[in-house]
Amino acid sequence: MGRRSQKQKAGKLVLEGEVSIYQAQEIRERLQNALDQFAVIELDLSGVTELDTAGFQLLAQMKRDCNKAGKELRLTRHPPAVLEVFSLYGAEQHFGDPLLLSADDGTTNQDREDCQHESGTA
Amino acid sequence: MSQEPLDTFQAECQERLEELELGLLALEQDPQDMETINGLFRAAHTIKGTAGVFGFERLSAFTHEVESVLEQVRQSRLYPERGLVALLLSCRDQIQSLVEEAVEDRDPDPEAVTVRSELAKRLGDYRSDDGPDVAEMAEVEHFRMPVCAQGTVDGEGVEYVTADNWHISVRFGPDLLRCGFDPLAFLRYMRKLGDIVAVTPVFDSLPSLADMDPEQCYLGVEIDFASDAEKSEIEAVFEFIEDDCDLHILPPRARIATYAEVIEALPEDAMQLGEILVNSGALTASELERVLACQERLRAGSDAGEEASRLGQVAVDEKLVHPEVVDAALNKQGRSKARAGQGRWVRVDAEKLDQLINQVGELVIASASSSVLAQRLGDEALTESMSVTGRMVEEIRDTALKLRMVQIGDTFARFQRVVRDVSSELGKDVRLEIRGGDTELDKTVVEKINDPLMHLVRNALDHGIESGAERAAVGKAPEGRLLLNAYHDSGSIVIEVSDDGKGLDPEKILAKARSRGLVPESHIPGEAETYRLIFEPGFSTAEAVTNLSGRGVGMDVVKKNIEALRGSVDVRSTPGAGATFVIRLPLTLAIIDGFLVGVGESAYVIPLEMVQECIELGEADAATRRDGFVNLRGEVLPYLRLRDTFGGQAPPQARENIVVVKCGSQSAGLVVDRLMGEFQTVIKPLGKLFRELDGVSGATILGSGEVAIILDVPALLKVASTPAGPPMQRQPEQARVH
Repeated sequence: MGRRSQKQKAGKLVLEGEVSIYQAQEIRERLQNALDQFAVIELDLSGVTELDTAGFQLLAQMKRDCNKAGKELRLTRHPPAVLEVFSLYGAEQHFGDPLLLSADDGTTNQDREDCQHESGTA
Repeated sequence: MSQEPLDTFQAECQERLEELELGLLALEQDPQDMETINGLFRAAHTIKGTAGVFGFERLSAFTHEVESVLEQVRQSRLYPERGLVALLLSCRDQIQSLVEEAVEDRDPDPEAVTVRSELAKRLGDYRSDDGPDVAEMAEVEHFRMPVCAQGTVDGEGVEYVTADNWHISVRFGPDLLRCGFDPLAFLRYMRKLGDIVAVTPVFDSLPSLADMDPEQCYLGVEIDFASDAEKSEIEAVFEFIEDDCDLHILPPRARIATYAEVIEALPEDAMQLGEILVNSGALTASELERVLACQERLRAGSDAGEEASRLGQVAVDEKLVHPEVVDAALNKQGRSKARAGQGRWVRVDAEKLDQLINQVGELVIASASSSVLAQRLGDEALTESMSVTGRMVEEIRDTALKLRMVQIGDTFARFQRVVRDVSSELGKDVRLEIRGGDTELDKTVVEKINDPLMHLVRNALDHGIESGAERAAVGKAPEGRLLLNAYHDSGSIVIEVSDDGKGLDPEKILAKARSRGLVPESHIPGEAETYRLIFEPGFSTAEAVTNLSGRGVGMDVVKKNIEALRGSVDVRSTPGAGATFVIRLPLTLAIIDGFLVGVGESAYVIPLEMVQECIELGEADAATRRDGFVNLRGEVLPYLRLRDTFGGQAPPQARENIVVVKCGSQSAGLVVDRLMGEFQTVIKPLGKLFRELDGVSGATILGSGEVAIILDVPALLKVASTPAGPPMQRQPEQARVH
């Protein structure tokens, strides 16, 4: 995760449920707040059930705003719904996050790493 | 998804489905008609494509199966024999329910799923299994046109790119999301048409999070697409949104100049776009150089050595482009969406139309008011002017009413399918003949007449027309004939349902009526009266209660529905030869031309089309009055005194008038005090309280502000013609507005 210093305030945002035009205003505010408060932002997408173009747009612009402000944005735990949209738009490069493929049970490599970490078998 | 695109989608599919049905029925009669076959293919193709764009997978997939079979028919690789056509009709029905499921966003029930997979399997059996599709191969050949391997320059010095893929550039319109569309649906659909080799999102128009409107679309995409689809198919993907988006489709091996123009046309930086094109494989690096050079020349306005920069010109020269694409490109901006052979149409919200009619109605009343006031003033110039205005108001009224008129032909045409299905179910051979399909009537009437017509048709098929054997036994042609006929007659529309079957049996009907106590033993009704008995509730002489009719709930419901439309139904029959049901309906339910009469202190309106003449009832006829009949030039005319009918209070005047009215073949006289002339009026319904009241069909507001009652002439005629009718006690004065 990198050194934590006073300047490197890190925050995590968890998006859940539908990320679509109906939630767009609300999500935009949350993203804006995170952008204002933190220097390193993690966006946990595991709970996202649906992503439409409006939602995708917000994420894309969040990335651009972070880039412009010299902040770091990481999208993690992409569910299949999000992966599909990113693939359709060819947006993987834009975000630059590693896209972890999930096993059939829905867990990702990251989940398994976390588990191993917890049980001390890293 | 918001409602409007769904409504358009549904309406569009509905039209295609009707085309499919009519086309398939026509195909049954004439399996060789290429025009019909082409039309069928186009209809299925459109439904499939549109469904795909909207993301309705099940519908798109199922329709695709049907479309494939139709394609084979179109190429004369499959003959549309009866079995196949019947199968396609069943498939069409499933497509209809799939459309409904899609629009209502619900899942199919398991039955439907089974039926559909069964149908799909049978469709698969029909498809020829010769191996690879000969036609598809031909298309592939077409696109892989021999171009000199290394060079990208043709004989005339025009440069092309080497890339084999389509390049599609879209800048989505800002309101796209708000209108309920999502580019993702288009992208998913494209994946079905071919391979998305590369896609690059364009975010340049996106403002910062703080400044952006989250519901607005700022995105663009550059897509490289490998597909054997035709340009029209690819364009069709974007059909619904292309007016709001910036769309460029470049075919494989497009010209360098074309790329240059697109880059020039797009808002982003040329270098940036160039990079995207190279990264996605649309251009090689050296091709990009040439494109940029060309684009610079365009920008500078010079056309040295290059062909004209108009995109249309470019498209014409583009060797891989079909003629249709040229037309499309040239007419792009002003292209009307009119379908071939139907002229220009505008879709209008039915509610807005009703609103217009209402407003026109108010205008009519207001204009009448003004006329009355002008007359009282006695100013000639003003009266003249009001007269001119009055005429124009009448014209507007007529035009507005015509907007609501639709041809009954569409309704009749739908019965082709019914007749076909039902007669086949009953094992009878029946042909449906349609006449007067271009007769027009009010759209609400058309909607409501469908059920009664349906019942009469089924009745004719079930009980009227005999089986083949029975017909042969009495020397009739084996094919039964059912005729639907429509025409205008003295201000009404008449619809006839005729069959050449065995007709009504008057003895059986009378016996049944007597057994139900409808006709007393002493009374021997005439033929017409006997036939009319079938409209009594609970009446049915069918021995076997079939699936379709004969449950005894039919004819009286038909009659009630028709009377609810201010119409009437009657039947003529000749035993052994057939029967004809005659439905009469008013042309419009909203405004009528009336004849104003006065009785005592009240005013009444008689529909003008029913008024034959007016005569004075002098003292001399006093003797005949009591019997309720008057001598009209040697003919006996029954009459009603409206004063008695409606319970007026003032004593009768010495001089009274008779208004002779005629409805169908019946005539009668209505005795009134004053004749007040022609009067166009808007019908205001009287409300539930008065619905059961016979003889009254509505009310209207006079120029003076008084309320006049509109008479239901057919109902009054019935009262006048039957011997003992109780006078109605309703006090019309109570309806007056104070």
